[in-house]
Amino acid sequence: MEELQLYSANKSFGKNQVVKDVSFALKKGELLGLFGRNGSGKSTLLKMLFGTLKADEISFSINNNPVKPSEVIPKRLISYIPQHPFLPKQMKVRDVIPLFHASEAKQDAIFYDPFIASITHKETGTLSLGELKYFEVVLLSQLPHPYFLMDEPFSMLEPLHKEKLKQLLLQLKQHKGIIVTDHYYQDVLEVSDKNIVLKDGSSLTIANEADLRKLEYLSKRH
Amino acid sequence: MNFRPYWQFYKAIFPFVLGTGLLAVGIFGVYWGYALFCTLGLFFGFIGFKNFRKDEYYTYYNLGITKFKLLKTSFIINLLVGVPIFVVFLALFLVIFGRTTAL
Repeated sequence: MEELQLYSANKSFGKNQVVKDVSFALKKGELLGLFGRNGSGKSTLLKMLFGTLKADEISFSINNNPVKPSEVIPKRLISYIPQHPFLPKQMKVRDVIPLFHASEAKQDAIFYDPFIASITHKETGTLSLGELKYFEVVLLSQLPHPYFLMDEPFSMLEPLHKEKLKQLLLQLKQHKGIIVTDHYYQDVLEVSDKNIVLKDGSSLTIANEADLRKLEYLSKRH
Repeated sequence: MNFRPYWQFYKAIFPFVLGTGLLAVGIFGVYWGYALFCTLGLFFGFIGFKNFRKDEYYTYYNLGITKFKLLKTSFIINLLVGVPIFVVFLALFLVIFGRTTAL
């Protein structure tokens, strides 16, 4: 079974150790929910895995082959949707699709999504945050990378798109390993197979909403 | 190989590259202008992109394209794009000033 194994990750900003010996395993076919309060190191961890933020120390393997962070991008091992919009703002949706996918079959798969079809004439900079996030997920879902990291994919999505995104994630995880971090914890818990919370820099495995309360990610009254 | 992302990136940095090139042509003449368009222009192109469109790097990262690969490809595209611009400026300078420098 193909697996991404994070043995250890550490990162400090000055004296503040944001990520402290975090570890987890993620098989292809699984979706890992990553929770934590603001500033707990979720985005930092994802960027370290993707190789765009230098870790103090990180050790991980894919299918038991050790991977250097600098190899992740050129070898197309992991795709990543950051929190902020990243598509060229002046480009129209219909022009962005061939930028990512040279194959017509893949382009068609995206163009035939009824929602995408309705926004092809718009520039990505004019899309609402919800529209843009949905488009980003659909666009990257067709890439061949075996692992997919998503930073707050549910933020600003309208309920209809949220449901579509959840369906898409359930389909995607059949052939990818996915990590999703989002404060919309209920949406994440619905589609995740396992979950961890980052607290005081360390990772703690949780099973459900009650555990999120115990670890003070949610208030007791929530 | 999908060439589109490389061209898209070059288009994004081109205004900065061209601006540097035009300034250099005005100050140093056509030959130095072309040389600086190809080198310093590219440098300012990357600086401009980093300052104004930094998040867009993730488009290229997700396509497996590193910053170094963007730099290499943009350098080659820039050399090629610079040639017709160089020829036009050379002709203009010779017609208007009768030499390759304005100053």
